Amino acid sequence: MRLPLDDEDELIGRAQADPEGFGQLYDHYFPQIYRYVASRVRNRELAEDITSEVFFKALRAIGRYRPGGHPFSAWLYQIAVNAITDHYRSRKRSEESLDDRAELAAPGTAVDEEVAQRMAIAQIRAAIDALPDQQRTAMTLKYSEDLPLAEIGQIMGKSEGAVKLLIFRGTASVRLQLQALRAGAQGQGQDG
Amino acid sequence: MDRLSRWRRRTRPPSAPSGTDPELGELFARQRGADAGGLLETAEELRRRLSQEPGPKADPCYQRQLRASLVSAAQARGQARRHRLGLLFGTGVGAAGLAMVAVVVFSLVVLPQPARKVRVQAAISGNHRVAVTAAIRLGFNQPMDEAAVDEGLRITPAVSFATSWPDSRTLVISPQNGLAPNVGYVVTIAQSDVRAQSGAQAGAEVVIPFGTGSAPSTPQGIPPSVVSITPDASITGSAAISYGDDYSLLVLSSGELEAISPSQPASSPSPTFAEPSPSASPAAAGGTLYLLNPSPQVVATDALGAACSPDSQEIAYWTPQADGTLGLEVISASGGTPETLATSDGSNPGLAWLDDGDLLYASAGQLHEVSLDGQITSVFPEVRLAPSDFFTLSPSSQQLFTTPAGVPTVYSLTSGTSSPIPGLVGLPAWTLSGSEMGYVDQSGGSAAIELSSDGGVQSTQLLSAPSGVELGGLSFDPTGSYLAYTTTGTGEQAQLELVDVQSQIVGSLGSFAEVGDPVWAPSGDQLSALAEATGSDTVDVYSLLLSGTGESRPAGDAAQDLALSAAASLAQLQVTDSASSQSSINALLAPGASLGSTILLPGRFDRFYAISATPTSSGATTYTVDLRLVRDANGSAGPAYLPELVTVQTAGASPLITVVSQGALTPVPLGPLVLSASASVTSSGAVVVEIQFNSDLNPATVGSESISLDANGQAVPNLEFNYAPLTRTETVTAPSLTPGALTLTVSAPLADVDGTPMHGTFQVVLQAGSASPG
Repeated sequence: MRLPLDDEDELIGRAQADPEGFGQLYDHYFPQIYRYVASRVRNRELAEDITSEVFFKALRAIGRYRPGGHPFSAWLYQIAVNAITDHYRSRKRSEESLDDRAELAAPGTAVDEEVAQRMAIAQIRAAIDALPDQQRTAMTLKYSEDLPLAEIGQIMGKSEGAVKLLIFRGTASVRLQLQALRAGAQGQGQDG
Repeated sequence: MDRLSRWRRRTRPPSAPSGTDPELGELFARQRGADAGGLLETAEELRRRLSQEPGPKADPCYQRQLRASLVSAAQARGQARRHRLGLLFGTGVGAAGLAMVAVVVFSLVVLPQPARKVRVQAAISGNHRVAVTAAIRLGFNQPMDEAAVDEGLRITPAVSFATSWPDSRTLVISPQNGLAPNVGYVVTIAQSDVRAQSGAQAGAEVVIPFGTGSAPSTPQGIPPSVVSITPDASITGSAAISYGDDYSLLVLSSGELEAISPSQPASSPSPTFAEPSPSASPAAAGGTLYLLNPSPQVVATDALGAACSPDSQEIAYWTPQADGTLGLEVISASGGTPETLATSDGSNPGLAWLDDGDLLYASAGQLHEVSLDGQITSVFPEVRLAPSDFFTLSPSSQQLFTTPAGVPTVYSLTSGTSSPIPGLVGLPAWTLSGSEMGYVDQSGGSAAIELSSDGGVQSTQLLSAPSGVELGGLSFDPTGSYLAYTTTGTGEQAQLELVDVQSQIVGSLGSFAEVGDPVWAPSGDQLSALAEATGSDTVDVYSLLLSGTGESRPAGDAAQDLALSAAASLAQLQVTDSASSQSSINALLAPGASLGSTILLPGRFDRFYAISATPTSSGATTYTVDLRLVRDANGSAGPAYLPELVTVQTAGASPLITVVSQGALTPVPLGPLVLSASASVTSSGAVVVEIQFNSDLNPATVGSESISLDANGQAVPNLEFNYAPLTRTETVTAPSLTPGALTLTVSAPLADVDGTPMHGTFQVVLQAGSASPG
């Protein structure tokens, strides 16, 4: 949930001055940052590790933070994007992706509708996973986090035009993949 | 964007259809040929599914623990800050104060920290061709204890350096005298000193191996010479050549692409067929555009003026459209489907990247800027271009060159000023930094090459050609030290030449019936050009390997030069991982010469250097060249070298190798090493010995205690010593000496700037290059 700017400024001011104030800032932003990190790495242990790193970095730098026209969450997302990029640079993505898919594809115990919903999300996630890293970041920030393009540009250190191109390409590519997957599934259903 | 704000006239984008997300609606509506409705449908599904995705739930216990840790850390930081401000302690520190110190220290030690080990990244790691002027940049995954890292930092061989921290995660190491050319280095940081501010440490000692390229410059200002000219491929029809990021030479010919093996092992795969370049391609014939990675892909079969973005993420090119116009398309370097950003009615629209997100092109006689999201802006509206006009940008996008109304003009994109240069012919060339421009000026009747550092407002003449000789194809080497160019005279062979920008000394690289514009390899020690040999009906791609500083070449002794060149050619082939090396090696051998098996297995080494060339007897035309083939350090092994003695006959038309003998692979020892040694005699009769080292030396250890010369078994007295730190070269002068064989001996107490003494004793027999009675 996005805070009004005045409330946000007050929250940041308290976090800069008072340890408990930082705790309150953490309470407010933890869910969305964790959700974002988890949606990118989809491994609980790793998501916890990276989220911890994000907030420790934020704590060390909070004294130097100055509002710059973007929400405070953009700053936290920026730290999170960098931390995730660092992680993927240091490990082979392919290994990670295999683990992730295994976790994601674990069968649920829900009713049919929920299973269908999970399968649809799994297909979308698989399609997004297949994108180049920067497209993946931009797509997640846009569609999972519902952030404005300008804010995504601020987070990724890119122009708004470059972000638009990433989103356009990513969406077009995911669309193609989903169409192919669904056409294949339909064909199998007819065969069977 | 500010640089163009005074010149632009913005064109409004088409209005976007209404959609669920106005931003996306406008974005998809703007893409030519895209199914905007379908994309919006997909976007809506993505948003609906993903925003509703529950995602992995955070463990409440973890969430609470992290909060407690953060609040504790915030408290400890507050206490530490107050401590630094002196609020806790007055002038006297009593028992209570010490107790508080203990509390603070204890708090800091037991704080729960994210269990992430320190990781280090360096772009240069594993790169064997780092520029000698490069700063070394290390990136850490978390804020570091800067003092500790500085303390544990070492570079081998020893280098005098300064460190700076732009932020607490980035360390920049700046060698004070630059790096030595053609040397393998290792940066190490002791494990105990790789300490983060959080207290986290690295899992092991940090080891970053890299090496430098053999920059084609010599301390004496002698232009590099050609050590081999290889006709790599014969082609017919139109062709273009370029170097990939991995230094492989890429040839595009009549729709066929051939990658010629790199002269050194590749450090990274090339993402595209073209090296990143902001230059426009004037009047290029259409050709097939390929992406080589991740898998070969034909992007367009009739592409014009393809150019990579500076960050190598995008490739833009022109391609004919069905309605007869040209479409400006852009495709991700990782593949996918190209998008059309703009169209041009021009037959020669040009194309250049202003930065990672903006392109410059011409249409309807005007220059336009287009961003990657298709936003088009007119720039320099007062510039009118004829259909045959072209333009080019300097590498840093600071300057634009074009010929409005036929007048060659350089525009400054930062100030908006323009400088007409009426005498300029062809295209100007810039150094990689864009700071220096070279161009051919013909205003004085005969052709001359001019240099300018202010976009042509003022210039100095570098050289002039005889009357009737044309100059062209200007191309600076990656260091900006040398300028390659072509000369063509009526009824004469075309020449490929090179000029040392500082000394203005000119060297000839080769003669051809016709020769195209030369192209430098990113490493700077190789030059390629399309050329036609006399009597040939095909065009050949020539690669010219140039000798570098690693091979010291005393001036004035042609036979010695030939011997060094032949040995260097052999060594170059041995370090080149190429299937064609063996046939090239055979061409250097004397009939009947038999060689050991090692040299038949090229590619085991990363570099070589020639220490000296000694005649087998006085006045002889046979020389023994002392070579070292070097394998740089890597992740699993330290640096090692293979000594090789090559005997070369120089009496014939071309030098022939008669004997090669090799020693055993030996670990490169710590401490200073001699890279080359040579002797020459000055006109005043003094014998001058130059010794080049791989390390920055401690000047206090350089002198008669560590360096000596013997002539006829007698120590040469009254030697003068002079150490040049920038080139790591010690010059020893014997004021008056009868020429003849000299034995040079170098040993400890000679030491590097880190205090490591020279290992063992270096000894070599030298013969002064051009002797005169002393």
